[in-house]
Amino acid sequence: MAIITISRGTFSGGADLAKWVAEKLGYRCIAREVLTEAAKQYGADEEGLQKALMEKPGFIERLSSERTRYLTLIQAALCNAMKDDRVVYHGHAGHLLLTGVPHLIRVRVIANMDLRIASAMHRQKLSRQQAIEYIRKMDDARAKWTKFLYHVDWQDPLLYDLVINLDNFSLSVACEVVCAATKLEVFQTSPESQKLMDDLALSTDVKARIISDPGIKTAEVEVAADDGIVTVSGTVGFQEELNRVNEIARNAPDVRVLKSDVRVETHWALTQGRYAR
Amino acid sequence: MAIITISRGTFSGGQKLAECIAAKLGYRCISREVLVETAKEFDVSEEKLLEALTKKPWLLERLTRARDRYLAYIRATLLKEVKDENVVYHGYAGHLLLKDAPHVFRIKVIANMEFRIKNAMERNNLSREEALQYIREVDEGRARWTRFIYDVDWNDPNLYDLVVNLDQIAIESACEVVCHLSGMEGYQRSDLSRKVIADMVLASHLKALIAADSNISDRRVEVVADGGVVTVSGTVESIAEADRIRNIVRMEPGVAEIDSRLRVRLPVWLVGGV
Repeated sequence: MAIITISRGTFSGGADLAKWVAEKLGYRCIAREVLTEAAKQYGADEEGLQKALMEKPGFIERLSSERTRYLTLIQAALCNAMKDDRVVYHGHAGHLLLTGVPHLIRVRVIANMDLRIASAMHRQKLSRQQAIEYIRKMDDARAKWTKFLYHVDWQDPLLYDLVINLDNFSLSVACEVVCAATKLEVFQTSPESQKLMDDLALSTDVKARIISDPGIKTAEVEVAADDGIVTVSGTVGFQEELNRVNEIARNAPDVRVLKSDVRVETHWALTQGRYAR
Repeated sequence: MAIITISRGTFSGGQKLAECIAAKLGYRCISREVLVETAKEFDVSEEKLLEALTKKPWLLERLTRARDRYLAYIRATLLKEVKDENVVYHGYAGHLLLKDAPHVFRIKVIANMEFRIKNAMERNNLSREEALQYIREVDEGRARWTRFIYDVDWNDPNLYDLVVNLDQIAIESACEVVCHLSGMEGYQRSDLSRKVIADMVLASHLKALIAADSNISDRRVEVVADGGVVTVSGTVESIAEADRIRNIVRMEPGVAEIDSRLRVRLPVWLVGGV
């Protein structure tokens, strides 16, 4: 038993592979559902989440933390879904959002351009030229996105456990490879690896709850979890917000003990800008 | 499955994987043997062959194409080796030398730098610094070589059917997965694949013979075989050279018919006058 992420370029056959693998192993197969879940759980707009996950960074975006906020929410929803084990996720950036989980199998699917073009033309009813343009654009956005947010090269095979080329493999053979990998000792879900996953799910959930709370605007916090013991650290701008942070963390599901190490630190800008009270 | 090629960076664990697969499937495991065989058959030194396969290209090499000859030899030998026998080849550039051959399962093994450094330190008794430098040098050489000879990026995963990251997956496990796959349909020899590979063996052998002939100046002649029909094409310097090439082909057992599309390069003064 394991969890699987399947990364892929657009129209590379990764979605089909995910479905096959899930069916064969009796796993759950998810992608976009994570966004819907994140939107529902943390009251964010789904379109914003979608953009944060897909679009390449804009010119001045380096200055804004909007995208990081959205990604935290997505990560929380994804971890929550993957906590259950036996899941195949074929949405974006799974291998990056779940880094460090031992029973995660990171698969990447590739296919040559001709195959992808044919698939895009067939499925989206595009002309050849349009299909090429579309794929190029998506690939470019993906590459820039990964570089910008994670400082890694999306194509680097070292980011994955297996890279499967669908040029010569049929889907059923590729499916066979992934299924064989789930039987390997190293990817079995152990009590320890499940604990790591649960800790990750809990800490990201608490963090997501904090940053999505409408009453909290100045929090810069990190959250760590260890078997239900949650540590929140960082700074907020106001005492009221500090109280609110602690309240949210204490009341989040699965939190047994809260250790709060959050300090109030008022930035000079806050005393005169729109946050002045 | 008939042919498995394993590409790898130096000290990435690829050799162990190759040996494991070969033992499990009862295949022959070859690497350097190909060079030894080539050296014997074409009467060149093994060193020269190894150089052709590994050395970074130098600045003016594009003009001389000296390397082409050795690569033609190596390719001819390797194809002969894989013609009738099931083989795991973990030597250099297998996936490129066997390009277009049927039922080749191209695997690449990767591992993170730490793993490789440790491996290099242990096996070659190097210091950490030396190991790192050694690996960097070899990697860079390999990358430039591949770019120069085949005009592809060595790291491009599209060149392989399967890339296995040995950071997490143990060599034995990777071995198991590959062996399991090799039993699947689509990788067995068929009548068609036998014919294709026989054609490739004949063509590459003829190409090696042409490359070996010191009386033929431009060795960029293309040879394609289809059954017993051999097509030669390209541009040569003189009619005598074209005759020589046709002669080499004619003398080869198994050739029934020659389709010659050789063109003779016009002398410079004639081209200039037009």
